[in-house]
Amino acid sequence: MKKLMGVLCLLVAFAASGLFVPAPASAAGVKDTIIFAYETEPANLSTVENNAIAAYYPCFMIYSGLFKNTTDGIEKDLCTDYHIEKNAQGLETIWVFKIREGVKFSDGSDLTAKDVVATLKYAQTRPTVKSLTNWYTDVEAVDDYTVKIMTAKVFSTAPEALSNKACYILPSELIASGHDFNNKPVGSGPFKLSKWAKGDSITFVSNENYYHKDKMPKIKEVVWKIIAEGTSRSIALETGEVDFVINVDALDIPRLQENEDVVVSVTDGSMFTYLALNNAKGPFKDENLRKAISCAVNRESIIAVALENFGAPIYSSIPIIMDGWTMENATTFDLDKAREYLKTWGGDPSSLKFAIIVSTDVRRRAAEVIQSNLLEIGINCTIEQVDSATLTQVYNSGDFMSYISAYTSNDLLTWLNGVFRNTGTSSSQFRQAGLDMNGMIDSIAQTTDPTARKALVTEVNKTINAQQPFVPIYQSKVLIAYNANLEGVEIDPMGMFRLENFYWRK
Amino acid sequence: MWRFVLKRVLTIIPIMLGTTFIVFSIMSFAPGDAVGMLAADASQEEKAALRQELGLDDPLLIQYARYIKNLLLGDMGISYKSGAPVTEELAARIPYTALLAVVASIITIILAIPLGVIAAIRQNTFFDTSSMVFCLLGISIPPFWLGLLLILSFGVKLKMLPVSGSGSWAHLIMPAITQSVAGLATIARVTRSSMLEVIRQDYIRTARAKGIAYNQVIRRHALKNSLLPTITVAGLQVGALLSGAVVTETVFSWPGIGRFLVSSISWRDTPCVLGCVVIFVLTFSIINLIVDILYGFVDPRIKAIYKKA
Amino acid sequence: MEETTLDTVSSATAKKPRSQAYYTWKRLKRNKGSMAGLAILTIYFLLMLGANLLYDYKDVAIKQNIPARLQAPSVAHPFGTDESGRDVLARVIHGSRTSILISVAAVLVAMVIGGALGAIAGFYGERLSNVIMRFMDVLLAIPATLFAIVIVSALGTSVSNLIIACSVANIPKFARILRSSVMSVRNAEYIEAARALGARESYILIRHVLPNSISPLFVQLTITVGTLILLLSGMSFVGLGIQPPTPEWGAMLASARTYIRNYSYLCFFPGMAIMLCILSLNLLGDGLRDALDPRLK
Repeated sequence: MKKLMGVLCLLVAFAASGLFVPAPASAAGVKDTIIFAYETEPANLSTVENNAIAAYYPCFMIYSGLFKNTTDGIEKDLCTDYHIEKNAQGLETIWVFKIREGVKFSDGSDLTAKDVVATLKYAQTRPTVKSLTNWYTDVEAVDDYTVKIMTAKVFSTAPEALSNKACYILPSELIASGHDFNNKPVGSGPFKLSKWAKGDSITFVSNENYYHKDKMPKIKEVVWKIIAEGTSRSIALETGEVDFVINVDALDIPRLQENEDVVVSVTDGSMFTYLALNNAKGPFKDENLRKAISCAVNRESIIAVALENFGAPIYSSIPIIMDGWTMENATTFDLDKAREYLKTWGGDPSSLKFAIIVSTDVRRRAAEVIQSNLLEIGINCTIEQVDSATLTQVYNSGDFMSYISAYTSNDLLTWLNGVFRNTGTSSSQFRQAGLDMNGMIDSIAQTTDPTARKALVTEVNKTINAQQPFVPIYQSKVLIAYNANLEGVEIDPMGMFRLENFYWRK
Repeated sequence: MWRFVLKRVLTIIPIMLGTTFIVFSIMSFAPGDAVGMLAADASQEEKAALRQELGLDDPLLIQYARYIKNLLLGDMGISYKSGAPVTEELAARIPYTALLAVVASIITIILAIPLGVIAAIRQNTFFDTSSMVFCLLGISIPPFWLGLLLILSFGVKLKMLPVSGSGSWAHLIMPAITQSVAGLATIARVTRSSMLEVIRQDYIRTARAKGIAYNQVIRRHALKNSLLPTITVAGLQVGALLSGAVVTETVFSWPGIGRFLVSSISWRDTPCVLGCVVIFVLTFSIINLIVDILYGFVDPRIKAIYKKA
Repeated sequence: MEETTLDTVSSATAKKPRSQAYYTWKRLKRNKGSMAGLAILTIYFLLMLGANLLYDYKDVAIKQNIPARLQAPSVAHPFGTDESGRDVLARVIHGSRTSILISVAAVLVAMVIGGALGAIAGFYGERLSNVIMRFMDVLLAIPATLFAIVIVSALGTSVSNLIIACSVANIPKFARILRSSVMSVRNAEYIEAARALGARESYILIRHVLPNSISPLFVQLTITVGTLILLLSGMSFVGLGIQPPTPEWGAMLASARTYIRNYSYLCFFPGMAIMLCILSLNLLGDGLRDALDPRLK
């Protein structure tokens, strides 16, 4: 028995010595590493094989595209210049982009027009990012540093669309050879992958081939730690185990604000959270019932319970930050109105039987408040918490009455396409409310004049509000906290930031 | 004896088939699939294409047969989620779970058996009462609550230990304690109760009547005979450790196989789920075999049965 | 101590033959721990029965009251209020119904099925034992929590599915324990004696083997009711437990974990309810084990 224990202990020590490689001490006092804490691990590190927020951060580090999204809006990145040309019919459907010269991928190969063409064509073949790449019909290289992108119709927001990670540039040879970008990413971004300890952390080091010599990252090593529990993330920041926490638990904000070693950033977010109602079938086909529910939902209570007040109530059907947003025709919290709408609907509220399907704890709390709110007007509903695969299945099959979901994008067209475009699938039909959503979205896409576009957006917003296809609930704040010695941090409404600007105060 | 061992090793095969089949079927009946997770916004045709790419549109039995065939060739498939081979995904995580399980088991056994034995031979003393109260609390505490309490006290208040992740021995302490408390309490209780039964037996009384020192009676006669239920429960506890790994690994962000399995289930990443099941089954079967062999060592009557077989 | 027990019992027997339950109860009554456990469990039982008399389910236990959210314990709310302003005491009391009933139901299912399989496997020859135990190994080889998670994610989160999920994973535990215990008893002299007297095998199993091998099962039973209350809370931890607004201890605890640093009482009371319940179950179970043990007669 003793021998057995001895052998076991030796084995354990041996195994552990392999697992616990001590972190390299930073050179000569100047800190040049940073440790992030985030709740979920990206499924993979490819630009085109997933479309989850978790993958955006690493992709922004590893890859770069023709344009990038910054807190100041869309900026040129690999593109130095561009213009629009008319096609044979005289429509402005040909975009011509000049590619920056001298850009290298992290593996040392040169980035040219050939890579841009190969990437954009490849991205169109990948189902996961289809909705982000279906705006162009063809791509061709004019010369080594000029690319033409053809669109079927006038498409005013090509630079915005190209700033999405799905259009970030990959080396054409690697695409041709079937390279595993999921696990061995190669891009032209400021960082490159150093080590992926699955389930634990992803380590990036600065890319010495990065083209932007003035903006070479001052941080040399980035560790992306996966910490699922919100409380644990905050504690890790307080104890100095990590330097930067994304999605801070709202309850921890007051405590972190008191902490002098920590900076808390609370920004208005664009994550638009709504209660989806199935417009395609069942009782929610009736707009009066949908409006009754919207009037009964007390957003302020939901924000208090689910977000600890770190959120803004929303009533209108497009995000507040979008140019042309309006409150016109939107319903607000008003129980008397709710009862009126119920009367107009004419049915018996107690006969309604439906479940609100949710997939996260925060949304379950929101659903509990809605459940309680609806009881006030005599509607009884249940809550079903499921995992995200089940939720996805449920809305794809169209076999549901209601669920809570959210969508975020800085770009209005991406947002409208993501939320309202009817792609013929049941998942896209339940929010149509009898409107020609595709026609409205296309007309916005084809309007290039900013003033006319704004007016059109307002018009569309009003029209959608009048039908109440869903119940907007809240836009949560983006809660981020980081070590007070960190400088250069700027956060956009999606919660994204540019790591290459970060540096440590001496 | 060796024939018995060989027979038992061969029984791992049907167990493996049984478990993988059960889990494979349940995973197939679960709503949703990996395609929905990977390409939520894609159209039906694109999803169908992706399904074909992953082999998800074949009949279930064919998918299962293909999996088993590849498994026999040492190929566990490709993760739907990450696109990496399942063997790679597992190889990255198994060492962490194994380390945690082994350390937790060592803590458990080193503490639990002496605790149980001493409590039994000093029945109704202060030591007995207090250690059994401790054990009762140990099995009553929800593990994630215990984990959070440990984090709050040792991580936040005392700032002695890191609260999450892995990387050093210090990271291992709190997860290992959380993992071992329930097992420790269970094994100590079972050891105590079986010890109590044994020391009431006639042969112990006889041994004492012959004038053998009490300690020697305990060590030479009672301990060995009381270990049978302890071994059973200890074997079961290894299963509990793997099960408990889910919660512990989540609370402490420990990059092990338990967390991986849960995320694979919610991603409907069947190759990864089955890969984990295969690993669990192997571990289990080997431990059960060891338990059965230990029975033989502890109880000659059972050894005789093995010999007959 | 033991000697006196034996004396009193045998003298009582001499006067008037009584049922075994009578002696079990008599012995149980001497165990202070078990009596404390039994007392606490009785209180739980009464609270379960009278929950609606104390706090109305619809108006107090599940109705939200946002202005009163997250209040510390006070006279009006002895256990404080939760994130939706509901009285935690009311929810703990109503929660006992869900938690205890589901766990007990699941354990009974697991014990009856597992116990029967284990007894048969341990008593009847090698071949049957092998078949049953290898099947048990299949079930046992899948960790309980994960088995439950897989089952509930596939079948959906209803009470009956939770009972199925919780019991299936526990069947092999009962089977293994009863089998190893039957195996160590089945060759005892008194069994041989019964056999020599020409008793049928099934009679021997039920009449002689089971009573002598069943006590480890009671230890396991008590532990398992507790384990299942914990498993339920684990299921809530991953979002697959009892669905809101139904109060259940595990769900309350899981939901309160976010608040543990700021409002620790939210975690404390459901946690205590769980601990106290399991504690008393174990105290009672231990006492029962001693009281039922035929060797102490």
